[in-house]
Amino acid sequence: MSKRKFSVVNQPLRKIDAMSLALGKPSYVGDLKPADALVIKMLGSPHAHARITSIDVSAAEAMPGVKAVLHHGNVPRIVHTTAGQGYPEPSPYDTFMFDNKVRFVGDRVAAVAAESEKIAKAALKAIRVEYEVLEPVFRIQDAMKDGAPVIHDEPEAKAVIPVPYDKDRNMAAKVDMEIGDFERGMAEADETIDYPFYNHYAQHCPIEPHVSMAWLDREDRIIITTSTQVPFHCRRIVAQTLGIPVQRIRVIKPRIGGGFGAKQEIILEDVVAMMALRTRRPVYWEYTREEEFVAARTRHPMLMRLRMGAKRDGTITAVGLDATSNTGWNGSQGLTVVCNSGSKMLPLYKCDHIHFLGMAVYTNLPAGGAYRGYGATQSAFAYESAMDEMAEKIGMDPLEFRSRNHIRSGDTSPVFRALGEGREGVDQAITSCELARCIKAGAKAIGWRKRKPHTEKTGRYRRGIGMACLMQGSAIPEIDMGAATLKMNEDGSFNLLMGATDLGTGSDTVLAQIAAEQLGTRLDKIIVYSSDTDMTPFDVGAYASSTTYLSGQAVLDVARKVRKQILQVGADMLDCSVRELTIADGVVMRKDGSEQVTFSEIALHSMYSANQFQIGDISSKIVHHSPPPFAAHFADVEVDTMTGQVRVIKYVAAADCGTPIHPRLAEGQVEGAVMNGICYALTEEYLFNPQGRMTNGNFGDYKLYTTSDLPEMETILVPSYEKTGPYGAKSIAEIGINGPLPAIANAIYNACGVRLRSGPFTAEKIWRSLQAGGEIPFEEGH
Amino acid sequence: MNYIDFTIPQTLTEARDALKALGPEGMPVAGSTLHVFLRDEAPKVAVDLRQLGLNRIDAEADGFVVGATATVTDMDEYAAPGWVLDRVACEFVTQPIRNMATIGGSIVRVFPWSDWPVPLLALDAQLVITGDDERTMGSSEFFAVQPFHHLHPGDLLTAVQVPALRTGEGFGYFKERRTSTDFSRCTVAVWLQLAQHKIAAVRVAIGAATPMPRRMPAIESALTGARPGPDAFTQAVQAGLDEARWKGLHGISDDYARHLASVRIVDALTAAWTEAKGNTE
Repeated sequence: MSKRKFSVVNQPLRKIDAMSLALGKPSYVGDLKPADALVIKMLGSPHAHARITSIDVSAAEAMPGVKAVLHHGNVPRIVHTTAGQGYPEPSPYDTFMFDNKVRFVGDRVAAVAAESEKIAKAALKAIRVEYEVLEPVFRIQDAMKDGAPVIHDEPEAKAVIPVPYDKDRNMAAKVDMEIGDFERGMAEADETIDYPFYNHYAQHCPIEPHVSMAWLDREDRIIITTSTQVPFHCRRIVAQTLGIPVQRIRVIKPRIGGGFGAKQEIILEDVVAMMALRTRRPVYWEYTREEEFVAARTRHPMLMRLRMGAKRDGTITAVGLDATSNTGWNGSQGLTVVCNSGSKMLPLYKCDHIHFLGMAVYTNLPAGGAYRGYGATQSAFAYESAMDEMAEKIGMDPLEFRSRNHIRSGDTSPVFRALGEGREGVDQAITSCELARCIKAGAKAIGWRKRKPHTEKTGRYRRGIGMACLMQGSAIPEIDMGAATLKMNEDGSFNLLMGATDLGTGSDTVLAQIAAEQLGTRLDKIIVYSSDTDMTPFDVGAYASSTTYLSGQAVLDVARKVRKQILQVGADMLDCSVRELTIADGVVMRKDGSEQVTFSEIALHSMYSANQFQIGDISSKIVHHSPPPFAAHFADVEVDTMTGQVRVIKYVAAADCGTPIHPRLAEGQVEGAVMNGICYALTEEYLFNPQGRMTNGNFGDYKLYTTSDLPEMETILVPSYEKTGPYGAKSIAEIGINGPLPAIANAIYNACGVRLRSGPFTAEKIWRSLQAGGEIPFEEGH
Repeated sequence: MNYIDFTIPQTLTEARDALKALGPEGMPVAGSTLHVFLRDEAPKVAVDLRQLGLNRIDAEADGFVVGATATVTDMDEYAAPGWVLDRVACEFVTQPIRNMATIGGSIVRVFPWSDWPVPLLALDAQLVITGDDERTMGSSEFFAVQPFHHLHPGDLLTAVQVPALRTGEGFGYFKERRTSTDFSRCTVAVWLQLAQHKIAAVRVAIGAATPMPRRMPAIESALTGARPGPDAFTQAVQAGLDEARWKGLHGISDDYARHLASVRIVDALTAAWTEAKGNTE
């Protein structure tokens, strides 16, 4: 529960950028495109796996209006990862700006910069390429076979941290962890289950696709304005890829039209930077929607095997999770995503014997990457489906089974230490957990008590209720770092400079609220600037549910320092001690109310009158814990047993995110994530032809819900107070997406007895399962 | 589409003259919502039909005359006894597209998933084409081929005549899709007339699950004169499914398309029967 009353924090204030965005003021990369910018277009590979035996760009280069053509023959060959992660990255180095080999349909072959898009497209057609077509491999099981085609046969590919990596067997990552004795735990069980699951491809579908531009300033530095979640990682990786010093690059992040993890990758920036160098002109590159689907990043599809043992009294004796991801043509985030499949779900229920095996496997399909939920989405489906199945086996209500076993405040889990992000994790005890109250509130809202087993249901249309419990994390402990600079102006306003990246989440507002609360001023007195690698302090960026918890701590810390300085100057001005003073609403006053000075007077005094200095400071923070947010989700669905069509009637998400700094934004995060998850469960899927070409890479065929498809949704924020977080806050951005897949799967089972182990839950799949008596075997998607 | 110019005629004659003069380069346009699906790269001159006064919906003795540039929103908002196309209009994509899309544009060029041909086939609508003289064509003939092939240079589809639903008649319509903005995977429309508790006449039309929208005459024949009911509907549909070629769109199998159609035709027959029973003097 919240322990304090706040004046700015925990208030639903107007977003600081609301008016400018509502008025359509130039905010995004596309709005800022210089009139004379060259347009970049990319020639994509027609083959899933091939070696480029020759490339002739002379005709393209000779075309009027074409200013540069890049390909593997005229750029530096520097191996790197596209994953925007801390250095050294846990993702393998397996990517080049351009390579003489293509590894998926749409892979980079050559880029053209031209005076117009029309000219650039015409130039692409003029490029002559000859390929030696190689055997492709699309499925995880096929890629792992002896003698399978080797996707990364180049000598440079390597892991840069000491982790298992075997490119000759298409293995991009592997982690194997056991706590206790898994087999003994299974043997002690009264009931056991052993089921496969498959999570399908999906894309983030940000409204704004990947878009970047670059130009050279008068000092010949490369200025990159880009839609990124990770401006500092972007600067470092672009410098590495071009073989130039970081010093020569400045990365500016304007407003972003959504990222959801997709923009935690360096996908366009290396090419726009190189094109700016080659042409000495501003250059602009924006992905088409089809490129966004194919050449950006996706959710890692995963094959899973979930084994569980339990006693009839509800004690879980063993849990085993094997998770193997299809990481596609590169291994970006492959290790850490699959680690998260274990680390973000396995601590949820108490169990002494746990085994986790995670692998990431290369194939010739689009690459996986960071995507909201980051591996936990995949394992939540398997684990939470299995919880229902085990509850049925031992004859216990699934809500009760979860309630008996879930982690609580004061508990710890050996999984926290055993599994980190590509390395060993960090011991931690749970210091805030209101999952029990989430379950209770959600169950009441959905009407759990009226729930009956599917065997008691008849008729064509059958209703069912399902649930899922969830946890995530808040930043990556002992790895991620955020920083903030705060300085005071003459009128008592403040500049808050942050490397933290608002990608549409509202984090600029949330972080400004934290600063304003600590300073004792109003939100509109905080001028936020984020992020610009020349101007703002370092921050790892927006990922791992870190911004409020991690960057918020940096903001809180710097605001504390500045508050001290304000009080000290105020004390000098009022000729008293700091202890005699208090701050409220931009005024420093004696506690007895006898005298006061305004922030403006304090700033003017410190700048112009005595002991002159600018009130301001900088703080950097890393975190030592990753306190999980918790949630209980409930779905009420109706299945048409004649067609298999499933309709979500109502969805309830009860979440514990600590203190919601901005309750409306927190609710928005939950609702957005739930919608995101419902689409993933019901409609989103990649369709490929036998050659590995995606056939539905557009919003006409790849279906997302719109607001007109919204079911009744109820979001319940169940407050707790996380003492390690800023004003008691934890994260909220990712956890919500993990619930719909298992909650809806469990609801469908409760409605009609069909157990679905692979998504999406299409009408045809449900109808076929009904025809087959409740379950059909699934195939790994492709 | 590659538009290089446009013209906005004020009369039907001006529009026809412009199209005649332009020949293949002329492209009649109204709402333009389907142009995203056209892949013709040849230069075109757009001839805007929206100023011709063809956007009215008028009730006449036997039914309604819908002007070719009446928008889907016009049809959604129109209300009169026996008018049923509002049930189709409200299922048509999204409100912004309903505001722009016209009935004429929606049926002159037909895609497998097109919504409008299916109810117009079931209602036996008549299509009015204005050329050097005016001619009327039944919907079965009109949709037997790509409709624009019926139009000679300078011809324009100017109106759709839709019968009103009368006493003893019912109409059923279903559109199966994943989301509200999705293309249809199976569209079914049924018009049914009862007389003395038997089916005096019935028309069954289907789209999206078949390569092109079409009637289902075997099902219609099996039901004509029959006593309506769930068993009769199911038997007739199962017996008549083989007359069509079934084609799944957007990731669904042909088998499932056939199954979905069989369920939804029965649903539409049931809905039409229910309405017909209640639609008494």
